[in-house]
Amino acid sequence: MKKMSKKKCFVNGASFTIKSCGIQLEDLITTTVGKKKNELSLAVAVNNELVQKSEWKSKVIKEGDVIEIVQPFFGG
Amino acid sequence: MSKKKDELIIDGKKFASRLIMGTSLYPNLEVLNKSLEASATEIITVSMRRFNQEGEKFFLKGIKSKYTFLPNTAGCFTKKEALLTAELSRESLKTEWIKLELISENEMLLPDPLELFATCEELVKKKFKIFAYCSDDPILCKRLEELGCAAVMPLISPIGSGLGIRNEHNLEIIRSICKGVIIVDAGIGTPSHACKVMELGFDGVLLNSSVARSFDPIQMAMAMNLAVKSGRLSYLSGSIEKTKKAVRSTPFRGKISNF
Repeated sequence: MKKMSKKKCFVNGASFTIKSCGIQLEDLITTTVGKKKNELSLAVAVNNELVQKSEWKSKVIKEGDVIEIVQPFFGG
Repeated sequence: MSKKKDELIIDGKKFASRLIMGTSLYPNLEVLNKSLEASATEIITVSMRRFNQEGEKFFLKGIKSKYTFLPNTAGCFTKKEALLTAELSRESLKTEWIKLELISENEMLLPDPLELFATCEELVKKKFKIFAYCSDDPILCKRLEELGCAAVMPLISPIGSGLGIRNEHNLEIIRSICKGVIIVDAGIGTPSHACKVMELGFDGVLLNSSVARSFDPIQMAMAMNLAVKSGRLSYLSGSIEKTKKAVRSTPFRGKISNF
């Protein structure tokens, strides 16, 4: 069986291994955040562009993509 | 005393409190929650930061539903960064409100007026309701107001400095030429600073460090609440004119003869 090669993207500044065919953004968020993802008021950007929640399932993350997963935090 | 209800109206929303509270730098969540309660605030500022467990705890700790959230763009240096942060906060919190902070350097954290104005122009087009954190330049404040900012927020001294009012005359000019919502942001150190700002006729005060970094944040939050209310009542009441000489209060007529 042919071994599938692995590639990397970057999630919140850390490197994240993905299959060469990519990964659905929704799955990447679940892996990073866990099942509570819908309770956390998350927002996500890919390559400095907002990706709305309604597009998480259709958006495919590829090698080299830079993903930012943010949430509300303490602030002044 | 006027019977008309004195409310702060921003973007068509009414608020009884004129004190906006930051949520950063508190020793723990319990003190934060109690301080917010003591301040009687209705609007709190938050940042947008990368997901982590601490952030999860903060947001799920029960403060979500009670307050109106005002997300900020703290830490942004460029228009590009601020625009993305604003988009992320709108998606996350389902609010068009954005406290626009664009700093120019790391030591004084002074706002960059040119980058701020250019970013405001973009955000207005994108239908954001902007709370523009800016320097205490009267003309800049006026221009931001004319651009359509929901609130203009001049500093009175650098963020977290606690120095209080550095240029009272500028503040008086700002208040006289800007007819919209002007909220003083940054530089408040003590309740007397907050009271003075409100006596000058500003619509509100936004503060964080002066409460969070005090020895007793809960008590200080209460003091700030009273100071803002006191200053507002003073402004509405109309203080007396200052004179160079004494003005007698007890009537002289009827006093026994001089001897």
